[in-house]
Amino acid sequence: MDRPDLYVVARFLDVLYGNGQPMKKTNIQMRVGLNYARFSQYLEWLLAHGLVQLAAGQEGDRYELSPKGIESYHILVDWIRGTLHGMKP
Amino acid sequence: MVQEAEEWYAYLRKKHDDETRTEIVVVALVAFVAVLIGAALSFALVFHTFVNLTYLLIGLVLIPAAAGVATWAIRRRRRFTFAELGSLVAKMKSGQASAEDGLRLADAMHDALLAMKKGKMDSAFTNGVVAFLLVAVFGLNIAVGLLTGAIVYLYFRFEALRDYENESRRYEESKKELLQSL
Repeated sequence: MDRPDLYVVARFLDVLYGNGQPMKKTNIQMRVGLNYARFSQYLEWLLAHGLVQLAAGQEGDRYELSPKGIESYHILVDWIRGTLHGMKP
Repeated sequence: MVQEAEEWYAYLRKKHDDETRTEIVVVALVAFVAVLIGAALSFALVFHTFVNLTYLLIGLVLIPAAAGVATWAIRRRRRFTFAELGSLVAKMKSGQASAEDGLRLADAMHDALLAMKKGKMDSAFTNGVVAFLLVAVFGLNIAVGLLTGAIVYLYFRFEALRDYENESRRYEESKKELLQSL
């Protein structure tokens, strides 16, 4: 995937950050509302960029935000805050 | 963040309403002067007699009023650009907003900002017409008035277009940089 949709990336970060616990693929897919093919592409992209990682010591495949993913979530929130502030009349 | 968005929304609505009022007055005034000039020209060039006074009086009321109503209708349609912004602000206020909603809010605010900048292109035309009328009526020179009006229109349009494109590019680049930084 060359250029992922920022909205979808934000949705993944939101879901994983908000949940706070490692999640199963199926649960993440349901929460982000993507079909399986699209979901897999985004999950691969997030894994490749180190934003998401497989949770250690969990039964079955469960995913969580990596430290870089948590930092990215904060970068995203700061960007939104900064952008809204910058547009202030 | 919510407070800023709310202030921004209130500011946009107020600005839009103020501009609508100003534009209605300017357009009605321009239409009024245009009817007067039309009547004067028809007297001087064509009929060599005054047009029927009743028709002239009706024209002086009806045409500016129709122009004002048309301006109001056009501006009212544009107000719907802010509708999404309003619903997003309400959602943010409810406290159930996600980062994705925040992104959508930033996009909606940016769209509203662009709509405002686009509105300046319309104002360029109004400025051109006002410049033309000022020079044509007070300077008593229609040719110079036309030239002045055209220059004023082109200048304001150029500035508004440049501003619009800069803002649009700046925001898209900022989003691109954000995605790369993740």
